Amino acid sequence: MSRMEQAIDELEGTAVIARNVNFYYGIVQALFGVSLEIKPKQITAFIGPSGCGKSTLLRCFNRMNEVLLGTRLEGDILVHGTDVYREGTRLETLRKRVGMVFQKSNPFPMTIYDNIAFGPRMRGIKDKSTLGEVVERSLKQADLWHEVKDRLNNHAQGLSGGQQQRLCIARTLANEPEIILMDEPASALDPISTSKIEETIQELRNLYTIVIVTHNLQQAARCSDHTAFFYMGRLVEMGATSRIFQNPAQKRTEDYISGKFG
Amino acid sequence: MPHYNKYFDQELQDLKETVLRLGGMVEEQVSNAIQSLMDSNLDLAKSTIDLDHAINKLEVEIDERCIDLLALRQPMGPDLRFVTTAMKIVDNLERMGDMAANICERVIDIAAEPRLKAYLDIPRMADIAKEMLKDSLDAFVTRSTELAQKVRLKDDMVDALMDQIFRELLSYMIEDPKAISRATRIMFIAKYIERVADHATNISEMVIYMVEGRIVRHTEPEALNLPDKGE
Ligand SMILES: Nc1ncnc2c1ncn2[C@@H]1O[C@H](COP(=O)(O)OP(=O)(O)OP(=O)(O)O)[C@@H](O)[C@H]1O
Ligand SMILES: [Mg+2]
Repeated sequence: MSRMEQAIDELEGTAVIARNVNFYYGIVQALFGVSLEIKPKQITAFIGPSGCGKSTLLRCFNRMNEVLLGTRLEGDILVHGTDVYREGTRLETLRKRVGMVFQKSNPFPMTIYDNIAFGPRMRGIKDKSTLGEVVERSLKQADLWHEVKDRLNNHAQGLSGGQQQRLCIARTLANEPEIILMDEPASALDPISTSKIEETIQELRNLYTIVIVTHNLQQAARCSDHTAFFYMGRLVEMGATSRIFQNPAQKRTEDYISGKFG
Repeated sequence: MPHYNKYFDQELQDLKETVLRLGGMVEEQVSNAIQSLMDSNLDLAKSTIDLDHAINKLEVEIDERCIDLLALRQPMGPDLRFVTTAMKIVDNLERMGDMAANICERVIDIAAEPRLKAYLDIPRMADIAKEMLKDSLDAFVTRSTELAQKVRLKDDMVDALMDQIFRELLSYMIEDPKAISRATRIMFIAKYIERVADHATNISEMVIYMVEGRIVRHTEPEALNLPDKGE
């Protein structure tokens, strides 16, 4: 393998690369020179005080920020080696490859089955048995199958908050994404539903690349492999989760995880 | 630097002070044990044995407090290292308390018999062990890894003295088989003192973990490049 090929291979082997990213909402700069790498098929947690830019960076990965007018990005975002801000990138394809789960579960106003089948149908899958397989597999991966298999034609709104959130995870999975972004996916849920979501996330490890934003430090500690700490729009420190929570290198990280101020 | 929750600060401070109180009690027990040996003071030996239960009680109390802190506060980073270190320190202190009581038991055993000889190396070894205990606790309070390293280096001196005492007592036993029972007990006492030094070394190693987050147990202590090296 030539050195060039090797370099390309390495780029593709990294799920997401952010290089020197500055991000602006109009004149407000939200990210300052952020560079980091997201490892494939592992779980990365973003932590940091409110307003530090976690959600902004997450939304840069699938260009979700562009829904808003007047936003601007400098620097590069590479998803498996492809520059996603390059002209000609198809946003639909990108958002299928890089799926997203939000804080507030947002099932479509339709049946459980149709929620999951929505994406595959959009992709042109019409065959009933193929659709059925996708629905079953996605619900199983999201750990929801056993709870809903007898009522797939019920309205999704009839599910509990925790079940709705797992439904949204299943809906994302049905699109067969490479990367799943989760922005505080369990912050509105009770402890049992939260544990279920965390278990689901850990079961998806090794299958998908997952980036999760959370304010719950114990949650980050429990279910991530890598943790990145942000402060006022800058990446302060990123490393193995066990190191970040036991022996962070930066004073700011240390103060944040131990709940100190000064 | 304070925590956002001032009660948490208070709990950590209380924990530290209680660990030090236990440390002070153990220091006194070890001193009294050696004193009872040197003076053949049976009353002191007995009262020292009686006080051991207070150490055991406080150790359990601190242990419970640490478990509460882990469960209720879920400390992270340096706080996590502090609480887990405190748990290990009190475990080592409690064992040192046992060593003090064991010394006193042997003192009582040999009291009826004539002295074997002036226990010259025993008090020397005991002085070093006591100093190591004191320094390890000081290192804990002041978070001094330098002092902790010094304690680790001193452990070699104790081991050397232990060898010396062992050889000397062996020669007594060879010369005079009637001395065997007394010499064996003195040997035990020397071994207990050596254990005190070992526990002080453990505490120092925990202090290094607490401050720097690296585990140095089962590694050679690095030589210190200090002007007063070897003091
Ligand atoms: N739509 C927007 N328009 C203008 N400014 C925004 C917008 N969204 C975010 N910001 C600003 O960008 C900065 C980063 O916000 P972001 O939402 O990324 O933070 P966060 O770390 O996700 O915070 P939180 O933990 O509260 O969700 C903040 O200063 C915020 O005010
Ligand atoms: Mg956010």
